[in-house]
Amino acid sequence: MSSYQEIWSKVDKPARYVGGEYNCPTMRKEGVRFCMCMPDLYEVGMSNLGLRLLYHRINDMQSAECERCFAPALDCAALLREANLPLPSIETQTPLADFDMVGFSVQYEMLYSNVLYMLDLAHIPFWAKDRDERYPILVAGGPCAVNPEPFAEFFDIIDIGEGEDMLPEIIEVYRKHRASPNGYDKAAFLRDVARVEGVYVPALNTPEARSVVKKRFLPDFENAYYPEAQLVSNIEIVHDRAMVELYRGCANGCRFCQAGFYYRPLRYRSAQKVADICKGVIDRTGYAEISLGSLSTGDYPHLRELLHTLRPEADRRHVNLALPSLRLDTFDGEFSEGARKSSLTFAPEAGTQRLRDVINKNITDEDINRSLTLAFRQGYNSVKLYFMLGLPTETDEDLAGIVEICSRIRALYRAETGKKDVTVSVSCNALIPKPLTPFQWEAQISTQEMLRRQLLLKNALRAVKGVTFHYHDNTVSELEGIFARGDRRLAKVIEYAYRHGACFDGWTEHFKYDVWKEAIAACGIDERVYLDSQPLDKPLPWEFIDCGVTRGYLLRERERAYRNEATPSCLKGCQGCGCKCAAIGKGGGV
Amino acid sequence: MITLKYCKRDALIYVSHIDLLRHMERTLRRTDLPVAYSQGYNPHMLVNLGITLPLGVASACEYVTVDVDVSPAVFLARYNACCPAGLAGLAAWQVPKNPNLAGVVSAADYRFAGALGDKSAAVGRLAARGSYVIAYPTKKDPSAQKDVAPLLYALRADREGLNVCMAAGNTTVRPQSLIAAIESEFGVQFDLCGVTRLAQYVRTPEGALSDVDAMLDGLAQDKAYV
Repeated sequence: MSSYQEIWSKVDKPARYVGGEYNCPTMRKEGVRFCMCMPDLYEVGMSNLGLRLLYHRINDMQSAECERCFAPALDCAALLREANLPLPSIETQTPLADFDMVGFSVQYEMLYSNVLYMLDLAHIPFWAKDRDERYPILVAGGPCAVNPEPFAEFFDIIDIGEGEDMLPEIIEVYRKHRASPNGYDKAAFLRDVARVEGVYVPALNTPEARSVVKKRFLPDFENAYYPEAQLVSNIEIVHDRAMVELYRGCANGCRFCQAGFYYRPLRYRSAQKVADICKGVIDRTGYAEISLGSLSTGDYPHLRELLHTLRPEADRRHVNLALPSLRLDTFDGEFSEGARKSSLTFAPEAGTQRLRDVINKNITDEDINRSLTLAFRQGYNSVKLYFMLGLPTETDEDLAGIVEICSRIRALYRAETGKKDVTVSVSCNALIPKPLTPFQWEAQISTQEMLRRQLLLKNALRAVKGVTFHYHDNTVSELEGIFARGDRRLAKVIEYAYRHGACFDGWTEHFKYDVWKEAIAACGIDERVYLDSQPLDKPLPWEFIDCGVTRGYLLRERERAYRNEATPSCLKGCQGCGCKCAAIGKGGGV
Repeated sequence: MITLKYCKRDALIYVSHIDLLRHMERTLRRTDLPVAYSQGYNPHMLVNLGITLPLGVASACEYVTVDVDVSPAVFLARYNACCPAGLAGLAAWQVPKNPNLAGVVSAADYRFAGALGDKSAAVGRLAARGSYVIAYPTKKDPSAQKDVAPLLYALRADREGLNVCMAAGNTTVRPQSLIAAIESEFGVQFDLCGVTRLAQYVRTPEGALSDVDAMLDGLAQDKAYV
């Protein structure tokens, strides 16, 4: 009996650490050994589609295999430390340091401390410069790669953009270097791998000597890799279902939304292809639910055809088809047919038409009225609304607009049903100005001002019956904002905070604001540099990355925002962002 | 209706009862066999699990009854083609109605692996005690105790471990609590992952213990094994 087994038998939820999931490939411990890490708990990490895609993509390679590792819960970490055992992979319980490559998927700024938490438990030095040939090559990827600078110096390689083709190419370059008759030389490998499109090597591409890195994307999304026989977790995970993407990219251009710009160009999968994948997924996983994912499901032009093709088989197998991210203006009674009439979720994002024009959320008051009338007629009696606070040009009048929407929903429900039992749940998040959006130069409002706006809204909403109001402590948003637009100086802050107790910062109960403030001060950092408005005439830390969307376009969009001017959806005609989407073409439309 | 006997081993020993139900439903969906669903607002697969197995304990004798109209041979073959290796099917019976094993099973055999060595004789004499009060912590009462002597039906120790037949089902003895008590009294050490359930029993009207397999043999119209 190994000591790892002893530890697993003592921890909460041992299934997080032992693997053995259905569709888990058998490891031969041959070829390039890659360990895919997600710096969060198993239940969160396993829910991520990107992890499932890349895990199976590597395992389908002849020359490589991929294992997994997630951030262990604190009870498990304590036992590993006590036994002085390094953090192992799930599949073969191999210490991370014994892999050829270790990849981290970085989904969210508040996970940066957990990357160090995992490296620490794995006995791997944090800084790339401190790791020679004896250590694995550390690779990072995921949404945070849009601005990798705060964590860049921890990694040897950062993948910018979609990894399905890029990662196998990186592994292939590595395999050749490992097999080199002259012996493996890390520096030579890094020089070579930097030539792969999408690859950023922070040690060779520095703020002092910049070269452009082009974001990688799959031109042919129709035939993009999808593992129908994917891992099925042994325990319940956060999103315990299969996810199949309808398309990548987004035509809407909401000015606060990083994903909407980062995942361009717009690329659709045909209804037939999606239906075939879904049928394969049902056969190979047995999942009771398939989520048909995209950034705005209602904008998928083949949705009606897809549901027509897929629903009979899904119904026969008792599989629920979930349609997340339905926009208010596309809510269509037909799509929600057969769904449980419980709660509808919409995101108007701002309370007045003026402010919705500023942020380019192309939803009108008439859209809200029409969609909700339809929904209430179908039997819905609960509405969830998402708004943002701290938007550029936002005034107290815009907050009053949120209250007005809630009152109107109650009136609409009464008019439609003659009843009053509607519940409205209002959730407000802070705007964090993100890289690669027209708001990337805007100031983020202070925690003090945010508190004032939250309380104002809270008091005003009290007057409307049936409304509940949810908002978050702004301190997390403040830190997220610092790191979102951060530069390389912040790596020291992450290390300091981790060394002084920060980890699992995305979990409210573990978030230590004081430790982070202390870290920022101790490293001599002025946080205002990252939270204040940014000069328009200087390159921002992440602007060496070419994501397709041009700086000129973002600036034009920013100017339009200040003129309260909306920009139409790309589907109505190409807006010239620079991505040259083949799906839209010159004349616009699909 | 089919009652399936299956094992629970390897990583699957850490799957809880509620997650096990999800596993069964997914496995059955993969088989694409015509499993019946309940009527109503939220139809669910008609699957009845047997008695619970504590987290971390392996088993060679778990049971589940599924409302499906196929032969045991077809069921077992399809199930085994679609299940996780740690929940492999061992036998299937076609039964006229749900035997409600979760309600009627009253005892089970366990093997506790561990180096007992010379202490095995002393441990073996536990069965003869009229009373054996052990720590039996619950969520509500962490200092609770329980007299398990009336619930230990047979006990045989050897140098490599212990075989126990004891209460299971609605009245039960938690294997881990019994192990902890024996370890502290006799200064022995059992393997943390070395507990296996070997057989389940029902009580006959005469009060004797009868193996569930034998009961199902008597009930079944048809049977298939691996």
